[in-house]
Amino acid sequence: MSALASVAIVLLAGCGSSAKFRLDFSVPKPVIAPLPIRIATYYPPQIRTHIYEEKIENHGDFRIDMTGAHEVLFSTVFDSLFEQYIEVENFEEVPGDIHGIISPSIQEVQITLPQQTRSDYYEVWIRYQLQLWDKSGQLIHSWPLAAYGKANKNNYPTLSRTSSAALHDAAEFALRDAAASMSFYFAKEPQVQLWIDSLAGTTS
Amino acid sequence: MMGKALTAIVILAVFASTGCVSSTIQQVRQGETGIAGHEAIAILGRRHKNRDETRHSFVECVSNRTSSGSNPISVIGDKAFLDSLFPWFEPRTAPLELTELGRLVARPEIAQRIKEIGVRYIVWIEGTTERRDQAGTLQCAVASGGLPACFGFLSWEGASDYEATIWDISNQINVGKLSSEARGVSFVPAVIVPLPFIARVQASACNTLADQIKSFITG
Repeated sequence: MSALASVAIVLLAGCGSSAKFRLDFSVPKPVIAPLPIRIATYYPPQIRTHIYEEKIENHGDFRIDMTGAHEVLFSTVFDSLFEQYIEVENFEEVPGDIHGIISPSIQEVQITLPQQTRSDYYEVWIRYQLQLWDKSGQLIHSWPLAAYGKANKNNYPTLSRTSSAALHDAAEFALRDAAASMSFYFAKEPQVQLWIDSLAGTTS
Repeated sequence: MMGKALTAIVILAVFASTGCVSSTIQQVRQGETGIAGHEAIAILGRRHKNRDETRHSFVECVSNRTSSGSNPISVIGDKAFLDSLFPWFEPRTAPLELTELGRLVARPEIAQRIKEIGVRYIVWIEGTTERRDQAGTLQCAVASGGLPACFGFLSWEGASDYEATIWDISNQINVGKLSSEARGVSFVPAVIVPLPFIARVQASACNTLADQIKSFITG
């Protein structure tokens, strides 16, 4: 009887929704033609060590340690997107031949569970804010970047820690979505496009 | 005596694990096909819809079966293809129409990468497996002696509906569409011990679709 009780406890524990994990993230190098600009990136501390934490009533505690993941995302994209890309620790150390400085930050992270939406999907939304300055320190443009990822609960074994595995994958898909969006739409932001065009007339 | 009993249990288990499945496959050919020894196909699940996304396990099953058995075709899996051409085949960016594929392949860096990985055809898979018309009840309880026992009868219909659209990258044309349907009724009678008779509709749809992809592409 005690053995059956133990099995029941283990099964119930396996079915719990709580999830705590570190997001190990890598993204392939985008296959894109680089823009003819040289960019420095400053990562504020909040994006370097971002941890998402939420207690969802009736569903448990959720903690996603995203330390390092966003830097991997932006540095991989920027390395392909720009002719030259460097990282700086502060604005004073930006070399003279750099055209501009980009600083991404995280505005919001949200998750939803299948139990909340009555669907099959674990979902993750991330909203970034990007700011672009020219080398004189003048703000060229500030714009939001929304990213979304989802993972079907049916792709995971029933008795495994489904919520951790599925939320990990949904978060990874959200970061890939951010990378895709950045690769596609950076130069299509009207203010950014005007700035790049103006550089083409003034630099060699 | 013991051996015969064991054999009977194994046979019962084998029969109990499978139910009857009927499969239907249809195809519409819109262009000539053929594949050289050095060429491959990419089998991808559509992910642009908010709901009813094709399950990863189904796409993987079709890829594995297409690349093995008789007349195998070299297959580049979903993840490997998406990574090789990142970010052009992500849910937000993947071409939905052939005209978009044409614009994509016109980019020199994309054309070069496709040439490197040797992909000739893209096979887009869309569809779902659903459980319908569930009837009956099954109740399990732990009896006073400490042994669990189940009583009742449960049944449902499994329905798999999948479609494969095949694009020829070299000629930028839609060469055809295949559809695979599988239906089967599963049931679980239980008198102390439940005996599941499961109709494996998704596996059946996978096998018929993969075999059809092979014969369609090799012509």
